[in-house]
Amino acid sequence: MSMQLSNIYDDKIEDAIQDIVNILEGNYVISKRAFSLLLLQEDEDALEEAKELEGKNYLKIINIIEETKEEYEKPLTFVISSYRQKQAKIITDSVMTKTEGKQKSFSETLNRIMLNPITGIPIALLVLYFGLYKFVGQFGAGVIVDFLEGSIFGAHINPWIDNILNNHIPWEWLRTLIGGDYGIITLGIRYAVAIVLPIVGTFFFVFSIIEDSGYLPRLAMLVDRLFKNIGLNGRAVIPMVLGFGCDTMATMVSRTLETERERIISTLLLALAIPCSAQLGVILSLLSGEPKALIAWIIFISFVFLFIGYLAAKVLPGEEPLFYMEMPPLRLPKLSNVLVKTYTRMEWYFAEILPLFILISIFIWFGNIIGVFPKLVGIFRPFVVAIGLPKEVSEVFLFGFFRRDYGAAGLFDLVKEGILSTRQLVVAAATLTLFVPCVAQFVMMIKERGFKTAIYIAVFVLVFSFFAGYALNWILLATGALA
Amino acid sequence: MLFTENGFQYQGGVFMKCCNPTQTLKKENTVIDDEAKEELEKIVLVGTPNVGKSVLFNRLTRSYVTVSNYPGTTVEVSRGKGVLGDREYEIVDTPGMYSFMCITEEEKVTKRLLFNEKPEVVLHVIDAKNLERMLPLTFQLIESGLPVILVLNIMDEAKKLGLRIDIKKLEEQLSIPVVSTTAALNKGVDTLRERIDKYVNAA
Amino acid sequence: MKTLANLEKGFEGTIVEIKTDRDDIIRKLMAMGVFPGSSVKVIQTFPSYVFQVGYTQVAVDKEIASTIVVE
Repeated sequence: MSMQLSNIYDDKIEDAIQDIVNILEGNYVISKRAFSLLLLQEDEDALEEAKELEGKNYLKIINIIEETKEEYEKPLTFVISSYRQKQAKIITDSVMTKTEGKQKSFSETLNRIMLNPITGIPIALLVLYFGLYKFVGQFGAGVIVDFLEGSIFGAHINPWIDNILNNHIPWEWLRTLIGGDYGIITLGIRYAVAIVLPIVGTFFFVFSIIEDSGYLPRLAMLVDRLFKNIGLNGRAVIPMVLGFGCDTMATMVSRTLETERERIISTLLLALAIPCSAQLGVILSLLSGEPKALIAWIIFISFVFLFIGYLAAKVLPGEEPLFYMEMPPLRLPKLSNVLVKTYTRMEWYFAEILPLFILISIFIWFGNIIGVFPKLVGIFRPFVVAIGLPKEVSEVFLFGFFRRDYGAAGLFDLVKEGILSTRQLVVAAATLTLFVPCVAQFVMMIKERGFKTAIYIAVFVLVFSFFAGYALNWILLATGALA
Repeated sequence: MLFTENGFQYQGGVFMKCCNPTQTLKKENTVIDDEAKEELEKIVLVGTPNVGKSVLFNRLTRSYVTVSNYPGTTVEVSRGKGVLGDREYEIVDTPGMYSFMCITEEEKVTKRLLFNEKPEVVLHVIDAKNLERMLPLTFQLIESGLPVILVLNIMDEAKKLGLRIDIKKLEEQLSIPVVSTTAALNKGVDTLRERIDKYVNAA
Repeated sequence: MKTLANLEKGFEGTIVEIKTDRDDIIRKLMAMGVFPGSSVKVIQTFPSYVFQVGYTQVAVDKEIASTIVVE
């Protein structure tokens, strides 16, 4: 070790290190000196292993730690870190020189504008408007989906498949398995490739740009105060924004929040009130024709998000979260990096959903054969009718049970057939947004939060979504807002 | 999930060298599995979030073999293969880490990975302009006895601020190799490759 | 006693002390390079506090900001 690194700490700490090193008998992967320093700072992992490996001597080590602690006012972590920082300053001062640089760069000016709420909040709304609504909603879910869905699948692939099946396959069961209304290719692969993939792809593209530019921490800083009211802190903005892309991925990322309480609240809110991009894309394109309907939907979902978050924060015990975050400089994203990220994420996502979509098609096909499907739809029907929707929507809710976007995409078909009124469309879209998480998200919830918590959340979401749909329908009817 | 990827299984404590007798059998199996799958020496990248670690990882691996990370929330460990000199290595990108005194789960993951995977080289990637702030982690890596190379990344931003760093002098003071790069613009990456190769062959 | 929580935007000074018993706050601040002796510049005070230490900008909430004593 160099001279500069052998005299970082003061004599008292060096003595303590030496004392502990002399006692240590276990065989450790890191140097005994480094291990002793971790022990002095009472690192949980280090203490646990010393306890296991040092036997009787463990108490001697604890004694040395306690004696050393008494020498200082501040915790030893702080003392040791301060010495390291001091040494870092000495070294930096001796190797780094500063000549004049640009005093205030453009990116710093932009930074100030983003951090100031007066200008920052409009910017955040613009980012959401152009990023989510215009690009994902209108371009991804509109232009690209129309092209793939209508021009490719609708006009070519589906008729072609059905034609082949009708001419060459004598068995009805096989024909309906592959083609027809619920076939693996005509429904499963069509939904995955033509509806979900373009929406998710455009979302990941926008998200990668936002991520690489360093905008997310600024957004976190702006929403921290608001999020404190729902038991979260600004940091949670990352899983929440990601949820607009894929709630399954977001549920996984929520593990990076610091406390279990924050993780549970964000898992609940993701399951309840954050529509994933596939669902969002379809819903936005459904509602965009009716600005009033779109606004009603946004207000209602935002209200549910804040209201349930607020209640959850009241009900769940635990400390209020702290917010701290480093703000990296704003950087111009590099297109090649953005494209690579978008591509890898799409690849991951597609590998994840395609088998699921195929499985769902098979399940529906099987359900149709044994007749369980109408029964399940029958279970949903009274609830669907109770919230003021036509009974055809029950089927959509069953789809939604398997995958959120699958359900939303089913709604798409119903609107094309002209079955829903504006009010019904809002109620259906809102209820479906809140409705149970998709299978993949539910599996992730079990994996991340445990079986019990996942079940509680799912049952709550299921019951609450219909209750909320009922309330929304009642409000809309009573006020005549969308009559 | 993190710990079973690519045959890497977390066993025993963080700092233990010897396996616990009750785990011996299990551990042996893992080792055999590991050897069948992976014989490559490892190069591990560590550093705080936002220092361009992932970009450097992509430069070193050439082919992109990874699960995605999110800034400040890097959950997955990314692994890829890269050729340096005439050898192929497994290159590992770790979740962001500020200090060995872990605050987050990701830091714990990184700590375990560093200590249990016996890397041939550890690249401590830092944001050059924040040298002063980031050196303490370099100290901790050196103290632990890990084979560290310090990478001063994002040199372009430091230069724009008018900062100059005497690399030679820094190397002398730390007694480890120091390389400056701007991974986003692919600057200094070839030099880094050479230095890693030299470092491994000298060892 | 002046803390970061009761300063105006644009203030420049030196950190004197981190006044808290909470180990987690100390660890977090140290991780971001916030130590007594560092010079500090306040960039934003609402809705959260943003300040610059060295070449790093850090955002914190009121609770953490009020532990950072400056002069």
